[in-house]
Amino acid sequence: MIHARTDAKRLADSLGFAIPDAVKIATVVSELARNIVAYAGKGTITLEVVAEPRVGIRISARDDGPGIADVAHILSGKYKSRTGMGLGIVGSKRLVDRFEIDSGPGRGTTIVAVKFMGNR
Amino acid sequence: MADSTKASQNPLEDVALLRTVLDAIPMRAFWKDRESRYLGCNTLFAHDAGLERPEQLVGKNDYDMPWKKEESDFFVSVDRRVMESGKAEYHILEPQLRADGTQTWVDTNKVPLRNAKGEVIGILGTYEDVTARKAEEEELRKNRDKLEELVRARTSELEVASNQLREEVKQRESSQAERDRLQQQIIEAQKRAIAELSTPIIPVMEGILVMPLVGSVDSMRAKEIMRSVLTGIGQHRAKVVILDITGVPLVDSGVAGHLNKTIQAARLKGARTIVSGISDAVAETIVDLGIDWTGIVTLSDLHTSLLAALDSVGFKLVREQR
Repeated sequence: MIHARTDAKRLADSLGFAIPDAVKIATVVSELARNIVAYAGKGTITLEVVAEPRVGIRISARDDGPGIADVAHILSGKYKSRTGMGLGIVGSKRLVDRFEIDSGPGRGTTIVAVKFMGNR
Repeated sequence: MADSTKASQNPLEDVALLRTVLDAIPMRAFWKDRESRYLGCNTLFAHDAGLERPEQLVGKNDYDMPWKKEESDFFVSVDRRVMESGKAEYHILEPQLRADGTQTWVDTNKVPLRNAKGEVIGILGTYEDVTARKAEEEELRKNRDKLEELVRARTSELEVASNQLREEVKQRESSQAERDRLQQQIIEAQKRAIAELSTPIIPVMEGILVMPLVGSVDSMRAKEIMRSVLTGIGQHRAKVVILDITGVPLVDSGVAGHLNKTIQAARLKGARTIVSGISDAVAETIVDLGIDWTGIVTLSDLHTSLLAALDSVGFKLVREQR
């Protein structure tokens, strides 16, 4: 987890992201990694550089865990997880420019988040 | 009948005919008495023995011939066996040293000769030279042996190679496992060292504790932090705890949750907590994440936090007038 967010921070810094944005990217990686560890046990986080429409970083988090039964409920922000804050997914969504979640019971969870440079 | 009568009437003619026949066949032919003395042969045999004409052979034995002594011993022993058993033997493969010095292989047949009463009176032998065939066979055998040897060598080479490979794979696996184990040990040891080092409690003044946090805060470290804070409050009768997070690179919901718990636990022990050192980037992230720290006193830096803490315990920093 620590490696994942250190890598994310380093990648963001090397691309020339502003410090707050780099911290946000690292935080999103941290949140998604925490979710994987907490709910699925293991999974993968992939970092990619995107060039279109602007330079950015795409974070893909994928696991084969139990999946999320009610994605809409989670995204509404009313959900309180057992880790307390219940902000992992909703908060991450607010930190990035694009956020897609594909999940369902028994088919794991895939989250793709993109943060572009120089926005927000 | 007429023919046989005619033949018997002219025995000389019969002998000549027999000789012609014996010399015409492509085989060597000879006959011996019971003591293995030669009684006659064809011209091919005489030549093998180094004689010009068959008559020169009569009365001689094998030891008078050019063949080696052990070859002669063998010829005579076979003669005896055939004469004693009365049974012919065919295709006896024998070595034979000739008068011209060539060492040959011969394929010999020996048949017992009987008189009118059926008694064995000697043997008739024929043979043909199979040196070339034998050499071919020998060549084939050698080639086959060579091939087999090559196959054996190649097989054992392959076996050695595959054993080496297996061994290497095993070694690599075990050394990888060993490395992983060592690395894990180092990580564990470092975790313990960092846990001890990274949660230092500094009692700066009566009733005030400062805990500077450096590095990532995971759940294990969060527990250490809480334990240090609670013990520190007890030991120093602290009223205010300053958690300085200047050195924490990012605050996600997990870290925020851990800090919240520590702050609540400190409150139960009668101490207020000030969180200091929140950088602009971290502040922005906390807001975007939606972390609610409204009930928590947060100040930008350690200096401000210290002044606030002093104030709350009833101290004031006054510059001495000189």
